[in-house]
Amino acid sequence: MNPFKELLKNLENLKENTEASFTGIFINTKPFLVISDYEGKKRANIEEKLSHLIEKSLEIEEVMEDFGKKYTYAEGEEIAIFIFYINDSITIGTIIEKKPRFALILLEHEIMSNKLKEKPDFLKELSLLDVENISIEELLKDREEKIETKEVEQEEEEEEKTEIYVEKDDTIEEVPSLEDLIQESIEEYKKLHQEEKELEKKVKEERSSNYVDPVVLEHIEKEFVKEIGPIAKLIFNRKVSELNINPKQLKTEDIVLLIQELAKEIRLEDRKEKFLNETNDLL
Amino acid sequence: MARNFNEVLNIVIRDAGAEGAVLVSPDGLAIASVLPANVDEDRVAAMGAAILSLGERVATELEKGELEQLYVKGTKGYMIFTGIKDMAVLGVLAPADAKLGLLLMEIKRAAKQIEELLG
Repeated sequence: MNPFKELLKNLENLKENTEASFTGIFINTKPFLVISDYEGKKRANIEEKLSHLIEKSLEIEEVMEDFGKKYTYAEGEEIAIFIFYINDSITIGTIIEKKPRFALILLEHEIMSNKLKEKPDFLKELSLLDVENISIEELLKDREEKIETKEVEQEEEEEEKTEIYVEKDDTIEEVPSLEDLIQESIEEYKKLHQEEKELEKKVKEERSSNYVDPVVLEHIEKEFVKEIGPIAKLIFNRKVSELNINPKQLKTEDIVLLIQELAKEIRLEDRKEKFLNETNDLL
Repeated sequence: MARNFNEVLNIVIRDAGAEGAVLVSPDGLAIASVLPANVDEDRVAAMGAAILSLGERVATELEKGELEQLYVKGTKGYMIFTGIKDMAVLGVLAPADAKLGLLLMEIKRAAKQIEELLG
């Protein structure tokens, strides 16, 4: 997948999960990729002010050597501003216009940062972008066109090879009889049918083992953090350990039990119900 | 009055396990400070006033009232800046293993005391 498209998708998830009104990637303190509820001049003003704030916050290294900045958090009655430093050049700036849940905000930014750090080459490419002279639309379009052009070139190459092959074969081999062709088709069909059966068997086996994608654990933890706050991670890890859950061999029954145990830790009934509803969808 | 401010700052450091504290005027000058030797009082003061002010500009743009507090977390610890009405900024430096809840509570208490001292 086009890495810029993936970046955009991850940013959209971040915005949705934190209920932010503004979130954006800033490169060398300049806004690069922004998703915002604000428009026009208001959006431009916010981008500018956030940009200045990021710039000032980076000076902390001059105040205290090797401070190793991780994030900046500012809170008011009805607003939270969160700046997360991915590296010296790239930051995420987010604004939430309601009573914030700090633990959730931090978790979501860490998830996004980790996803980016899994692609060091792309991260490096981002760090070197000249934000003022390039637009994200161009990057998305450019990459897609390049990918399409490459695919077309590959197809043309293969066609040429096939043509050459056919030319050579035409002069040497005899044209096969109709019976031979029919027999060939039958053999081909039998082979495909056999492969399909084996595939079905494999899928059945996997289903019967009830193994679940370990990413489900992350989602459950996220939902739990939403309902219980900063202490959630501690309780979550303890429960996983107590239930002897192996993330690499997750079974449906493990997940069901974990959700039940976590739900017991939520005191308020409406929050418990919300947690159960959200996590049942995952199953 | 300077002695009183220093007393308040020392109490925050003692009770919250902080490493240092500084009281800053709105234009970024230190009023009082109790800081480690390797930390430049003027720089911390200027940083505190500026960064809180820049954060407040974002809040003002969105008409969301005042920004109560701003802190920067690093591998070395925390730098926490708390606005005291329009009168001053209280800056506190804390180690990475500081108990944030206790720290914020003590800072709030200190901010109230300073507000009373400043009248």
